Amino acid sequence: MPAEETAPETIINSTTAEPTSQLRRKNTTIHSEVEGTLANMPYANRQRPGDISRPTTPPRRASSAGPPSLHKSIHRTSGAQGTTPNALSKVGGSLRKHVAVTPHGRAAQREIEARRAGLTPGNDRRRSGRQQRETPRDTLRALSRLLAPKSHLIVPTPTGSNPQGNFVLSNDDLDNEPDLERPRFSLPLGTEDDDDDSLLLPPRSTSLEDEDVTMQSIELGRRAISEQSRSRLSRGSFGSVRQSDHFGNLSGLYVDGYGDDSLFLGQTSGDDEAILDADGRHGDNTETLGELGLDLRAMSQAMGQGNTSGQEMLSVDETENTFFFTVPPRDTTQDLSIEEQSMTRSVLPEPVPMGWDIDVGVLDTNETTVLDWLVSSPSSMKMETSVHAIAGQDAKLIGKNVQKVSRKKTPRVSKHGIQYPSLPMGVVKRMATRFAGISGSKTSKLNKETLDAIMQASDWFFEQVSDDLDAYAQHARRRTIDESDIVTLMARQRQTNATTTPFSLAQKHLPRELLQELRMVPPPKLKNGRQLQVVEEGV
Amino acid sequence: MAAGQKLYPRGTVKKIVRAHSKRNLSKNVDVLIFLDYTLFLQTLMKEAGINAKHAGERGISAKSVKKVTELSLAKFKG
Repeated sequence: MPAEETAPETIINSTTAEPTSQLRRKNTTIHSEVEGTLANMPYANRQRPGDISRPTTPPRRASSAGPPSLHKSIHRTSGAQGTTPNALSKVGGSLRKHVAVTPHGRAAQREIEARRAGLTPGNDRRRSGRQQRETPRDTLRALSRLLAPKSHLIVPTPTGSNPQGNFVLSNDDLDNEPDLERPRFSLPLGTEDDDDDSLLLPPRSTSLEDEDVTMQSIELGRRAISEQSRSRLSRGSFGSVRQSDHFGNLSGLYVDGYGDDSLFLGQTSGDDEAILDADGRHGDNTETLGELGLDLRAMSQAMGQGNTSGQEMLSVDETENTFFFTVPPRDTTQDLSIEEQSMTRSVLPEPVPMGWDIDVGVLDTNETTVLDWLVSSPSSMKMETSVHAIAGQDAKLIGKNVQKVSRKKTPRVSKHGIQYPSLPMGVVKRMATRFAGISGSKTSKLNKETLDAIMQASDWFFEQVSDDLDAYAQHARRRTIDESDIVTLMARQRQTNATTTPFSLAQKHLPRELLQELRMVPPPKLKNGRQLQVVEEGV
Repeated sequence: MAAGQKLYPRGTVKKIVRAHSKRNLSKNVDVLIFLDYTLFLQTLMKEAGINAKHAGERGISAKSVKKVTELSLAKFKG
């Protein structure tokens, strides 16, 4: 049987030079049909594959018929192979091998075949899929398919619990390891805080509670950045009083702290958690101030600038409170606040009481006790005067705060010191709902916060537009804002161009009554405006 | 789009602009300013809707409005 099997291989070897498609066809036919008919093999080589099935010669003739078939095949192959004598001898040798009938000869033949298969790696792969299926990888894959649904992930147990007998002696070391890891979990948090603190505080800050410190560090950094970026915008804009009036619902007491929240907002674009935290911490600070921080403050006033552990907490509070104080006057009525600022700065040597009286203004219940304490404490006359000044301001501030808390819709003040209202919420809501519905969102409901954000945006928009119109009118040396200004503004906003006039936009967007009003006057006026512009430029 | 739409408060718009610019307004400027505001609000809501859709929210939330506020304002900077 091995001798018979070798026959097709030899044939294949001799016909390798043929076109591959033909070769494949031959291969398949050979494998399918010629299992038992050895005699055909040489003829199959010579003839077309369709002729293979005809058994014409006995098997003995195959040996004698081999060489001529070889010659034919060589004729068919490319000339380069045919001319080299080495290739000839090799192929001839392989063909002559299957004449060997002795068992040793067969063994040698098999050996050579095996070697040849080993030398040409693609050889067996092409011959049949049988050997491929038996690769160890496949068995491994089958094994994995069997095991996959049953197997579970091995969760590494904590290092301490190792019940094996070998480690009983070294168990002490294993017990030490979690002790080392626990600080490793907590330390990075602590070190981060320390890094933040190290800019401001001595390394003793581990003794302090971290909440004040972290808040302060965050606050300082953010404030500086926002001031840098938004300094060009006017006071009502992003950096200064962002969301100032609209976050009253978070904590009613803290009307004054909103400047800070707006800074948080400006930086991180509305992560509410940070704001909430900040508010909560404000609350904590005031509590500590009311209960505990006051005597520290008095001590600091008496001692000047000392260095106690409480003093550090105090310094934290100082910066915050001064920050509080600088922001809220901008929100509230400006003229009053400016006077107050100047008063406090002239009277008080340090920024400490400034922050303090704001807090007292917020917690007006503590005020009297604080004042009593301060008066009764051993202090200089200067301090008493400062206390009086503080008391005077407290009254004002308390009044203001109460006003602000009681009704949230206080009119804001522009940079010119003129109060202005914002658009009524109903109008904005109606328009916004309409546009939200147009823009494709299915639920056209707007909740309160969204509406607040829209209101804030529209306030900023009006401020910006007014500033621009002001600039245009000023450039034209007019004292009134004209239609030409707004037309110029809309052109510069790329809202109007050659195809869309302001009038067409009005037709599209404004209700009919307004459109009529606009139609009655502006079309001639628009022309007038343009002509006027030209004339003014000429003049 | 409703037929019986209330007009916008013209006095309020005039007051706002006058307070910010400290200048008088000619007679019908406020209509055009309100038109500009309408366009702004449309842009704002459109951008907020896009932002909300990107964020996977269902309606338009305050967060998305705040995010697009600055961009929309920058678009309407004269």
